[in-house]
Amino acid sequence: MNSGGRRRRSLWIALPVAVVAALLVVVLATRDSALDRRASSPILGGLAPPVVGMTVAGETFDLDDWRGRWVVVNFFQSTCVPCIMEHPELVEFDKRHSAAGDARIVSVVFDDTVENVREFFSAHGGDWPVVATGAREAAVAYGVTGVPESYLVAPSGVVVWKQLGGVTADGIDDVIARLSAAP
Amino acid sequence: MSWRAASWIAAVVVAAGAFLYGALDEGPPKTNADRVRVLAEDFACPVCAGQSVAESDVPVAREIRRQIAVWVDEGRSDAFIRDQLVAAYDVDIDYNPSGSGITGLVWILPLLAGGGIAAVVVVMLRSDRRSAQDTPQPPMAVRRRRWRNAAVWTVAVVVVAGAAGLLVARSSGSRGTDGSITGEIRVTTRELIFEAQRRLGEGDMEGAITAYDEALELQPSSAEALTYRGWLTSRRGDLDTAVEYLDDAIAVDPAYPDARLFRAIVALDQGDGSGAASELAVFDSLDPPPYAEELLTQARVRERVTETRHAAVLQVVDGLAAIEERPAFGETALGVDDALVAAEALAARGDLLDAVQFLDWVLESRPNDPDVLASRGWLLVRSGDPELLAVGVEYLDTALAAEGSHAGGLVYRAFARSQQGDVDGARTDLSAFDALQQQPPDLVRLIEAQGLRDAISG
Repeated sequence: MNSGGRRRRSLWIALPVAVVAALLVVVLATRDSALDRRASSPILGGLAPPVVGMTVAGETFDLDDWRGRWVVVNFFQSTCVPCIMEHPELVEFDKRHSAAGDARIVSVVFDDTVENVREFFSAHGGDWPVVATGAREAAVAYGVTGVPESYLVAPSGVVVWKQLGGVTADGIDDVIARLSAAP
Repeated sequence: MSWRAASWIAAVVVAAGAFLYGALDEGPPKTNADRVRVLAEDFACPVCAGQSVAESDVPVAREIRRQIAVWVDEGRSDAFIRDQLVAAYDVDIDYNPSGSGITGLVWILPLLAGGGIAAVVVVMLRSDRRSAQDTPQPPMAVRRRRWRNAAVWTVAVVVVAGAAGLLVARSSGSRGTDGSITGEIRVTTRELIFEAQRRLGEGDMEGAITAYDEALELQPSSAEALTYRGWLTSRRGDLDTAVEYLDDAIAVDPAYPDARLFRAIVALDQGDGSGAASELAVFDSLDPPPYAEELLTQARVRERVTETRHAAVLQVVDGLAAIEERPAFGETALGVDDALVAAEALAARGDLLDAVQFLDWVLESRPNDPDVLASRGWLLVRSGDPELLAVGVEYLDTALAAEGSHAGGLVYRAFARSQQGDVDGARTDLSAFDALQQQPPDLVRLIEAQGLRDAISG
């Protein structure tokens, strides 16, 4: 075979390889980085998945009953240090809003026992509902990857914000103020 | 190589491949447990590198596995489960990427690559054929015979391969040898659990374990099967595996009393008195059935919990006593619950004075704690000494002043007032206790055991 034929054959082989490689680059380049994906969530912007179950106080709870208020859905574990550190902030947030009733907190137990949770709240304060039965369904529905993890549900019932790690009372209030001011 | 030989080789290769597939492929999942395993392997652990939900043991993977088990037992389809997990964790959790959108290119790219390479091969073969055009053609009759032979052998290959395929399908289907024609699972979890209970009644522990395993194959989220499988495992001495089963049972149904009871017993067997006490407290709050109470009594669970906890806290208390300058209670790692148990342990040992002094030491750090005040008062009330009884009532008054609905304070004072002859006061306290939203079961048992209601009823 002459050199022209070999060149043509090489071209034929190189062409599909180049096309496939280019498409792979397109696929990979248009994906979010792994970190971005963990910080975001597919449930943001959608109706909040249900949080339904029994609280550690033995009462029934349904997130839908709180439609019309801002709700912080907080997934936590009594033995996790960041959860213990964030707890005073949640207590503060609850204190700021308990009189007006415009914003509330519901905690959801993640991989923990009811007894531990009762002791935790007894020791660290806070008297908002803490969902124990039905907690696993909620954690999986929200795509929880670790604790603490919090979601802010707007009065419309839409999940508007997600926080990996501890929250602060000021931080949540800032988000609420910003979103309330938005047209 | 002749067409005949090539066809035979092709037939043998296809048939051998088909039989090999039939032998190696596990076929579709036969039970719910199989389905849970297969599905869990199909999803990536959201926080681990390179591990599936089935492989990982981080809490989030465990929770997802348990939820998959619940969905499978509810009869949800694979597509439903996939949709739910992708909706919550995004497409990256799915090891089988979507066929739509830009991710769909992942499926198309290999086809494109294959097509491209095939095109190159065709171009090259044509080029070679052009170079061989000078070769003389065989006669028409010979070419017809070759085409006929090729057709016959092709049909033979297809028939052999098809037969092999049918055999494979029959051997790798989801039905077992006694399966019905629809493939439904005719033995139910309930029947298997009955079978396990029957075998257990006959003393056949291994048979019972096998039956529970079969029940869990059908319904991996059966709290009952998990509980009793865990219990039998603990009786065989494998406490760690037993804990896994029992914790799974509790995760599936936190309100199943049997699981709480067995978990308490296993915690005791592991020397974890505190964990056993926690489980027992939950068990008591669940209004357990009579058979569970009987088992609890037979196994002396309450006594063992008390003994284990007392032994543990007494060790700490004796250690503190040995220190020349004892630190303040608030500076130790002891909690109020530990302190109350320690005081009870000292009193049970006959060291009433030590018990009272110990609580006084706690009160130095927590002077208004109603639990400590009530316990100190109760120690004195129980002494039987009229003077100490009066002092004890003062402590109970203080505890109830700090928390008017303190359950222990109300019950202890009812006892004290009853002893003092103040029946009306005792009734008032007992009525207040009865009006509480939740009555601690240990206090309810105390009232019954001591016959307080009868004592103040007349």
